[in-house]
Amino acid sequence: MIKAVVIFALLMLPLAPPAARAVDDTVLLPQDGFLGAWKKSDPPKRFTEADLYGYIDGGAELFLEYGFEQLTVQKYRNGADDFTVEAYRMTDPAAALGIYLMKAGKETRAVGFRERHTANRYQLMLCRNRYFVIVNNLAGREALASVQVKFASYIAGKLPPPSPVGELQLLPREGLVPGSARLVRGAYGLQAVYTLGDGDILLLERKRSAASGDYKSAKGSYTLIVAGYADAAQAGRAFDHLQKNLDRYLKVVEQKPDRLVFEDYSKKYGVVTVVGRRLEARVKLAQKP
Amino acid sequence: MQKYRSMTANLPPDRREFLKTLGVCSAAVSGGAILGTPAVLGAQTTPPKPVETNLDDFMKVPRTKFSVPGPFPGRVVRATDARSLVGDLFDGKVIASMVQKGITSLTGRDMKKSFDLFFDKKDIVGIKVNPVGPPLINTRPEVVDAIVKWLTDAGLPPQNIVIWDRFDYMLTDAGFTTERFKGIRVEGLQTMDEKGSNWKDKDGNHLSINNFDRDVFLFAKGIVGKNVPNYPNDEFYLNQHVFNGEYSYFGKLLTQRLTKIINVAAYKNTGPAISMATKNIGFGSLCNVGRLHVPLGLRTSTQVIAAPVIRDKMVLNITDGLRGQYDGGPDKNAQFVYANHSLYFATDPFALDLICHNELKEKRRAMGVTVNDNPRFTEYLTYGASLGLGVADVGKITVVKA
Repeated sequence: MIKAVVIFALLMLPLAPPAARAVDDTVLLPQDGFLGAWKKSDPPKRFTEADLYGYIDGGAELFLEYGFEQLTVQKYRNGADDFTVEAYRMTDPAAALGIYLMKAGKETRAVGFRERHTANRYQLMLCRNRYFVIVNNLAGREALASVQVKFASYIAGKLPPPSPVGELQLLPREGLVPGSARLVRGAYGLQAVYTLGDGDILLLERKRSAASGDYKSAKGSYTLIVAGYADAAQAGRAFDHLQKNLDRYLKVVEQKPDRLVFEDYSKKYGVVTVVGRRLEARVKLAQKP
Repeated sequence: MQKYRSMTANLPPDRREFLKTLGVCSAAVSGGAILGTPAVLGAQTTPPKPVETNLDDFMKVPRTKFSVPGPFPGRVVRATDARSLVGDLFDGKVIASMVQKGITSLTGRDMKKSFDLFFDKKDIVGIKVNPVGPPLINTRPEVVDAIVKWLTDAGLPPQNIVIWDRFDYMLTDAGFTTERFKGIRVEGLQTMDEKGSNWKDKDGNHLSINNFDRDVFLFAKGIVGKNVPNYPNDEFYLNQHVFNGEYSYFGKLLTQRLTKIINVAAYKNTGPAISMATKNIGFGSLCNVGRLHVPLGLRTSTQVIAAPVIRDKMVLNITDGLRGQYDGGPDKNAQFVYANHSLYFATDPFALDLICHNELKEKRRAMGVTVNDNPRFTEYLTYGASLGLGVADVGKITVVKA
């Protein structure tokens, strides 16, 4: 009970207000001559919500949905080698973790780097507090892997301390498939998991997060989506909205004031319930619940 | 002198009478897939209303012998060779061999007769590439090398070949330059300034407004490229899309110069859907398409392909699946990029996309990525089939290994 109260208290913390002016995130990045040889090859570029599309052709909307403030891009050169660092300042730690989980997939670790991250020879992605950072080594040279980690370590050392994200604790740990947990703040995040309807079907309004994860047990597998709201009335409104706008490929088989059961396009089932401030959807169930 | 014409481009075009009859598209949203830039966010809370477009006008234009789906509806050829990509090295010779096998297997003819099937030596052939996501998941220049060689070996003058995409700087970033492709034209339909500070001429017009044909367009009633939810900077919209308003104009390159098009897509996802053949041409041939992402979704691509300027010129589709990306697309995400060692060939872009969609879906499943296989993500393909533009029934598609 205490744990549930703590989780909901964390969820109800107000989000950081939008930045009133551009923040200089270049202070987070390595300076000229880093490791003795890496020089900045271009002036840094900054992108805001208004022009993020200028940098990301395809996918900027995902950042905006989670809550984006500013991107700082800095290119470095050492002889024929190039690195590009992208530092995304998100609105809050959940926004940064949300975009990280979407981008990282199953995490693969780099040797000698302890921050939460995933790495391959082309890209190292890390997440801390409200920052999501990518260190790009797009030539993919294996020999630069240790340099990639040094860049990431330098940046991690400049970032604000880690901040807990309570929403993921909405997911029960038992049976959760490792690497499947996601945060959702709207239509684009949710569609990666399951389509319950058009648009912001859970009324998350880009300011609250739902959590999702895949589960496996002896009884079968399913996907769980859990959203916490400020109060029961808000959760009820989200449930009503979902009922009224349920995806056209989902067929209602049972409907009660606080429970909805549907059959989907692949003959699997889903059940949505609302209890207090919590809305929960279990989907891809083999048997009718 | 035009004073900032692009800001008032919802004025009637020169031949507005062309639009007296509007097609009505029952535009169920294709799921809000991430479709490229820019998309507007799904703030909508009610199902979308049908969108009126000029599709009916497209459909009234008689088809030609070159019209999509071409001579081989429902036929998809896959050429696979593990030697094509080893580590990060693409082998141009192996790739050229794959292109030859793919084309001859598709047509049942040798390369010269295959050329004659689609082209003559006076054609101006546009090669539409996908430069998004370099260097990991864009159309590979080596594939284009092989296509250029095929065309020139058959007698097409190099100056009759144009490698093109919508944005100029992306072509450069992906390696499509005149230095790399000597004697070949390389053209973006428009200039695009990443930071949005250098895209107007001295009169305040977008530098590229004259690159688009006011007489040839996709119209979508009431869907305008300004004041869209969560799209705060109208100026930046114009930087990227050249015009606001209800009209998306096709590039003059397509309407006035190219006589044939080869569509060379990359092999990648966009959300639970794919960004391959239909989307490569559907969102890359015209301006002001950001407005269409939510109300029309991937059906935008279907309607664009139905436009005679595309339908009657796009004679061949080659999807570059030497590398694939099964998640995190359409921009590069190395975590999900893999060597797929395959090229795909079809005259029917809808059959091609359906086969590739299903393949990529299985890849996602195999890699443990959550699969959302809601049918809405392939509706645009069955929609294309309903318009007579291709085959979107797996049972009616023949997949040939070259």
